[in-house]
Amino acid sequence: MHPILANRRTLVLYLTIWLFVGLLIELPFIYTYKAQWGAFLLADIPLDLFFAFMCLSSYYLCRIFPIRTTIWYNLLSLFVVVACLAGGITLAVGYGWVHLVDSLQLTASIAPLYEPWIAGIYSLLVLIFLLIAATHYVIITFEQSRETELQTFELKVLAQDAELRALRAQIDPHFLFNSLNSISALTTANPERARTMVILLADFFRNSLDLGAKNRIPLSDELSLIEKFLTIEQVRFGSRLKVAQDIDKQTLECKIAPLLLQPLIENAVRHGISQLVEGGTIALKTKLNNHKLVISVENPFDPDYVAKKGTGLGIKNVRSRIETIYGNDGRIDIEKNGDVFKVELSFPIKNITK
Amino acid sequence: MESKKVIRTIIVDDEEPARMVLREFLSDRSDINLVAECANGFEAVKAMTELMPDLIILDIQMPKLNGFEVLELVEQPPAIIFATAYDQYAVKAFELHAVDYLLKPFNKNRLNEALAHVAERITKKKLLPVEALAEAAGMKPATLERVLVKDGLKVHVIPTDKIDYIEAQDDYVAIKVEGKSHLKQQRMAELEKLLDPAKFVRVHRSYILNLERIARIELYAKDSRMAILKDGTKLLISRAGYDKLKKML
Repeated sequence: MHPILANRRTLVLYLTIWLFVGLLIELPFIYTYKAQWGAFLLADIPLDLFFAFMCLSSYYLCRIFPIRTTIWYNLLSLFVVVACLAGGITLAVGYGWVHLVDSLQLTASIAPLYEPWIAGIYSLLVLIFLLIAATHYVIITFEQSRETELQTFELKVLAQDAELRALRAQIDPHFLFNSLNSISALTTANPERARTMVILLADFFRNSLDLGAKNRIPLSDELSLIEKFLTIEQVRFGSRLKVAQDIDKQTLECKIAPLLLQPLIENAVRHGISQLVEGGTIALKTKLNNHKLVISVENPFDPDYVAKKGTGLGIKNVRSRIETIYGNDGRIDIEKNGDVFKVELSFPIKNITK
Repeated sequence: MESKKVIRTIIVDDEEPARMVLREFLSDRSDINLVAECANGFEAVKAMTELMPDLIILDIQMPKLNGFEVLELVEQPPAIIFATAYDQYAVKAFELHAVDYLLKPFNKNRLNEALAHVAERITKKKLLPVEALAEAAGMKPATLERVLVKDGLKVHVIPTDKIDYIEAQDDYVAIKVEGKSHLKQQRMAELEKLLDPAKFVRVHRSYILNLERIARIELYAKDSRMAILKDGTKLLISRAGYDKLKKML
């Protein structure tokens, strides 16, 4: 919609300006023919408003023919033609209207008084129309730049939001409730262990909240979070869950985005180990390769297992975070080989303290 | 004193601590006789067939067979209490069908409440709508991805891709996989509806065919044709079946 019509206040302002302009044009006539001032006003105000709206219509033309993509002489000729037409129409309407006012015989006839000035009035109308069209282009450019600004801002907010959601999604309700159930089991059978579990669980959640709030953390912090997670899960799954770690000491101080690995480990437990009657081993490896940190998580899985809806979200989140954070330098490779599932992350490292 | 009927009960959960809680809560109830504990769906099917319990307390998310699939394989399921840690869909399904369920972790009172309902259920012998439940719980894919067949106490999980063809045999269907035949009590039409129509075609009253297994089709008699499968098996195709095949190939 037209920016002036869209808002009542700007419309009132616009029309008020027009009334002034109209009166300004009319002033010499009223001044010269004081007796007929009423007729002049009656003739002038509706025509003013008529032409005001006429000028607004150029906005839509401006939108159809953007200034940047239309050839300038085409644009100019188009607007000159349209302006001449608009001026002509207004004059024709004005002619009829003035004669109507005259026919009311409120004062002496005013139509003949306008006649010597018609050429001047006409060029004035054309000029004003062109001026307003130019103004419309200014408004449109302004609007567009504000829109792009808004869009970039929105994109930024969206990206941040995606990050946040990725972090929030870490807290898997299955994990929480099943762990609580394990604790409930231990409270009578082994109160000491139950307490250890409660503390582990509290540590795990506190830890993941802390890490989630940070921008970059050393890999060792992420690994200790994973360790807590796996210890808790080992209470649930017993001997079914085994872990093999092969951590290159050089990688421990590498700075990484927080909670990139934890979802992968969680996935390995939830869709791998927990779906196997005999369980299996999760293999976690880290190494440095060409100034890139390479981390892999490998787990056995049941090829017959049909994933329920809503799964695969963990990996999807990790993938989109790697993309946002590391761009083309980050990679995530997913490999299914028989009954082994492997995810490998690799991304550049900024600082390693030796 | 009036002696209460003893409820023979099986616990099914793949997590030891979860079984531990139930064991503990049930231990001081004289009316419950815990006859078996199962750590996975296969064990559960076996135990239910052998022991014919009155009640089964059943976890949903388990390896190989989920809780619903276990029930599907048992001819006369006993009374059931489902147990789950977190599953919005399943809980909605249970509410919908007024099934007893426990949300882990639960306390003894909650379990006793569920058991009180079960006593009623056992006397009334109400059957559970397993299919509808599994579907409402979002545990049933739109098309069948694997067929479960019970063979005595053993359970075979057959991915539909491995099926060569299916042959009707009275009240049973014979599912042919790699030269072996698995009998399942199901009607042809029912199974036909569940299979992916882009992969399986009913070519004859007695045959459903895996399209990928067809090697060629030969004219057999004036109005009928013969499908030759890749392993050499020859199967009769009816006229209607041939029309369907023509559209697919």
